[in-house]
Amino acid sequence: MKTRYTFFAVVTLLALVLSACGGGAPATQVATEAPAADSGSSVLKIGWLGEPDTLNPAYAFLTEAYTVFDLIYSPLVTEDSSGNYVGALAKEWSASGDGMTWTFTLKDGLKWHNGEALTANQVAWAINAIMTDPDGWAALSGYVGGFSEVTAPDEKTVQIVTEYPIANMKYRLSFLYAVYPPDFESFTTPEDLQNFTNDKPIGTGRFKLTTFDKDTGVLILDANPEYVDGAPIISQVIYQKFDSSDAMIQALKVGDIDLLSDVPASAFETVKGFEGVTAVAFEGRSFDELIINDVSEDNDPAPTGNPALKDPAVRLALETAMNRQDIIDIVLQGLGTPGDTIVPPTLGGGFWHNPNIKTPEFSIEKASQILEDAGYVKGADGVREKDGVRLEFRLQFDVDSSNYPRIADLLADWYSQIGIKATPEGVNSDTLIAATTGVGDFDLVIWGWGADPDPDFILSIMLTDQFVIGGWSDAGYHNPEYDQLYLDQQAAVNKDERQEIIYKMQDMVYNDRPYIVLYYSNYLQAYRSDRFTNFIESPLGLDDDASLAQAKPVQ
Amino acid sequence: MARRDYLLGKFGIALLTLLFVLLLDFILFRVLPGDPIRAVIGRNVRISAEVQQSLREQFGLDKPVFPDQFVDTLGQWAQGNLGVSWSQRKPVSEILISKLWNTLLLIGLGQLLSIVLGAILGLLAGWKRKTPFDVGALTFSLIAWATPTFWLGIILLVAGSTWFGLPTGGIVSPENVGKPLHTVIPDLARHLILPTLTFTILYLGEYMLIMRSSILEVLSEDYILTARAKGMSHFQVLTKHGLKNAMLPMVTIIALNLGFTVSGAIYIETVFSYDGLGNLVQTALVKQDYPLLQGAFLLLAVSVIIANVLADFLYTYLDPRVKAN
Amino acid sequence: MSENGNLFLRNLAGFWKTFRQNKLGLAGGFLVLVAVLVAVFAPALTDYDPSDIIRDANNRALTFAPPEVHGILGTDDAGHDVWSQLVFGSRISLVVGFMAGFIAMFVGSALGIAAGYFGGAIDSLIMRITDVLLVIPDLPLMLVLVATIRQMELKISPLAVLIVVIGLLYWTSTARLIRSQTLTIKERQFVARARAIGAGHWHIIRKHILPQLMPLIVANTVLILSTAILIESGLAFLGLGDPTKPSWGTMLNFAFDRSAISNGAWWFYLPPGIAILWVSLGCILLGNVLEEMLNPRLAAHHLEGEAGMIAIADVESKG
Repeated sequence: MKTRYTFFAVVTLLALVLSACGGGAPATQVATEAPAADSGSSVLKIGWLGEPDTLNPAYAFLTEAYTVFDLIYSPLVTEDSSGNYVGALAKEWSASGDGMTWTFTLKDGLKWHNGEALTANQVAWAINAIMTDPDGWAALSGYVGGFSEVTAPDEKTVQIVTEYPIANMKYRLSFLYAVYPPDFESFTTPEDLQNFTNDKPIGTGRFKLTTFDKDTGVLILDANPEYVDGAPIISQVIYQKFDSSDAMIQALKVGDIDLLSDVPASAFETVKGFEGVTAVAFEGRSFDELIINDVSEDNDPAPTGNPALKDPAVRLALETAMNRQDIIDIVLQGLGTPGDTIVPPTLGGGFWHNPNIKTPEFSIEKASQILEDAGYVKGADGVREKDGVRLEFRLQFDVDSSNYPRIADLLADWYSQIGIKATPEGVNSDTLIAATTGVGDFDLVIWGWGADPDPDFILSIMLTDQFVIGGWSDAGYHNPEYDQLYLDQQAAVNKDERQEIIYKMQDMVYNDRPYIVLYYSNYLQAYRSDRFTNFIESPLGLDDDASLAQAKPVQ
Repeated sequence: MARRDYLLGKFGIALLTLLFVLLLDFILFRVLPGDPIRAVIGRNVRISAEVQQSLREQFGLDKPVFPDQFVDTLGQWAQGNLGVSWSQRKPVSEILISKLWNTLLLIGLGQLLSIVLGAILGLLAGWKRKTPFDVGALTFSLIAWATPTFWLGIILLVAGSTWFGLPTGGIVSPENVGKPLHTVIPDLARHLILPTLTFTILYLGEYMLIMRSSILEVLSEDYILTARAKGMSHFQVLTKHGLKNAMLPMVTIIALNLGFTVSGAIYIETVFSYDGLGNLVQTALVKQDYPLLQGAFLLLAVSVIIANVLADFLYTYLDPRVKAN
Repeated sequence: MSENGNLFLRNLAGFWKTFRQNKLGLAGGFLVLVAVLVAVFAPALTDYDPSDIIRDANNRALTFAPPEVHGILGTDDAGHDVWSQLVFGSRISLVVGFMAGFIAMFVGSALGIAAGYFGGAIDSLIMRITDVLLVIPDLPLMLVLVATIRQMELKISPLAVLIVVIGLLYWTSTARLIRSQTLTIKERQFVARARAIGAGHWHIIRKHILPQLMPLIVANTVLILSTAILIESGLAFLGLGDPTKPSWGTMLNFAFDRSAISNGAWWFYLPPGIAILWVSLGCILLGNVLEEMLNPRLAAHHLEGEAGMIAIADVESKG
């Protein structure tokens, strides 16, 4: 009988352990329990599919990180929902006549989350830190280009001197967060700084971070009662990461979360139909593109792209054989606009987007003809070739997006009809970065960008000197004329003059086709309007700092 | 004697398997394209050539692959150092441990329920042999067997959330994340219902079949007459002897099932975004996070090997043939 | 040769007589046959190519259209006709499943015969390998292997990787079965006689052992097929399929990733699952009945008519 005892002991023990964990609750009883609906609660639960890569502003690249930075840190000035710049830390500011000296006066009563008072010195220190260690502050160093000196003449004043007049100064400053110096002072090498995860950030923003648990993907922010412009109405914001969009949407439906910061286009119509839910679509600032290897042969290491991709006719054929409307209808369920240039039509209210660019009409026949005329002849297997070079390309895409596999599918199918063999392959973003920036180990890549409100950043991704490891250029576009125009537009203080230069830059990039911009996607969000109200609907999103400041629970 | 030999043999296999797993994991790590130092530092970290070289020395990557690097790696693994995850930039072992308990909870609960329910259903099916109940139970187990795990999960997810308002993902609701699990039991239970149910349906059939055939065997023998003579009821006899007979094959199947339980966890956790090792494996796969993937494989394989040894140990207590010798 | 051939034919006729009476076996055979016919005649069963985009009156892609609006099973998230995806998907699912199954059968039979026939060190070595493979959790092992092989940029198609990995990991149960059967056959008189007159190993295996084993190998292969098809669907669901050649598992992967559930597009996520269930159920039924009829050891064991069902507990793995 000893044997039986042993067996049952194990089972009983297991049962005890499990019931102690509470798993044994009878299914029926729990199933009928209503979903946790604590209406009137002022805890706003936001669901998203991503999470910050790190909370260290020196080395954060994902949009999610910046969403959080905007809530916990304050820059001198920040963009408001109508695209104007307003003071965050700064009460008022002025620029000298030559546009090369900027003076900022800080608001009164600014305090860090730990209760200490903020000084102008600390603000200056934070900007200086980026200028003195651009390698370490890799993510933000682009924004201090042309800065020569940042000082704090007195307790309330920050002064920035630049080498030349900077046209988009306020936009740049909106990314230069005042980080708490004691958190960042101790690092001596760029590597040390980049390994710092900053899990307990101290800022001056409207919200304080209390928890960031990467395991569970939960980020909890408490309202900062001592915020200089007054505490927000809601008491807490929780960001919850979801692995599947279906689970996230379901959570909104049953009320487990209150806001979706990014609704997949394929589910937007469904979410719109949920009871008690309001779904909103804004024209966004992001686009997705087909990157064509444009890396110079002189690059070290030498690019591995198919040489046929250097042929403008092949590039034109790649664009002509692409039905943008189909891509938008299928991938975005119609919620987007066909793309052309790298400057989205929403920037500056449409001021910067070049409207004169016309994309070729979709036509398989025309695309085939273009290749035929350029001397590419179909081989026995239907793939065209010329001088022994076959039109056979790798078509890689970032696996983090559920849209890209479908786009890759569509493109591969169209291209096969014109005698181009494109082989889709999902790759993670780290690998893509390693294969593109500075290296050129790819043929075609489907990827996307989110533009800043000012066109400066998105124009910079085509600069020759950005094609280095850790730089922004992935296509490897190299055009000295373009590089010069970029510097010109930075210095052009006259808005119309700057517009003209930026139009010209867009023309260049469009015609040379290092990118074929597929579409500008809409920004889709949804929230439980039966629980929360008073958000600001703007391209910054419902979960933007200013919007969360005034959001309030439904009584 | 026989028992010792039997166990020694099983230990031998376990050691062999362990060695194979370690070797495989090690080799897979090395055959990835690119500099192996990438496996240590990830792909997107800008690290100067000098620092890379010093890391290479620190990790022994400048030494010959066999035996030096292999032995070094084994030493690292033995200390729980499985490298750093590319996607999370954290030690792999730390990530694995944080997910382990969630998975054990799901697997343990699923196994327990399927064993208990399977035994009960098997008993009834055997007792009511060739009735509609029996045929129904057999058909059910057959169909459950042929159903893809993840698809069953999807169906239950749709049904459970539409008709019963059950949560579709996660292990607890957002507001309870991060709190110790024992403080949020009702919420946890709500989230466990669907994944556990999927698990149970999948594994129930097998246990039911074992129990059923054990009951049939009892029915076909003289137990009934003898026991009846002793004044036991028909049902008591079935329960007592049926359970006893079913014990050995049950333990065998549980041990054999350990590996498949792990597969089940990968599919089910993926479908329900359940925060455990299985979901971690899937995420690592999608993000091509090789250190994490291989670390998870190592942990899962080693756990199954150890569990198998334990099952064999238990087996020797239960199997009269091994014991008698 | 002709003598063997006649024997085979006679066996086949006798076998069919018995098989005809077994309803479960017939049902399984029917399920498998239908699936194979669908795969073979796929182009005749649908008006659309799986990559065609279905369009509405305004020439815009028709996505997530329910069956009332388009075709037999509506359209998926990309405006593809789900029915034609399903029909053409059968080719991918069955080809991967069958080829992987055949590799497993071939490796398993070869090693099983070698172990049983030669015995000694060869036997121990092969049996130790099967022991080791049986203990390692199969899915994580396959995921790690497939993912790593893909990363190695070997220019092998993703489907070929799946076939090889599944095939090379699922031969263990076959090897064990064939080995034990070889052991019995080896002891029979005619083998001993052949050996006595100096016949070579290869000759004995080919002329005497293999023909005896053939029925069993066939039965076992059918069982392995169900496993291989389930595993293929699982790996494809986890994203390891070939998106340009969608199998049923790949369809489910897309359905899950592209919000088919939130959209209530049951016509997109139900049919591929039912198709997988259909084929694997067919293979399990057919395989078990065949094995029961052809495996002398099993046949002696079973007392009940529903033995085929009980035998499913013997199938050793599942996706």
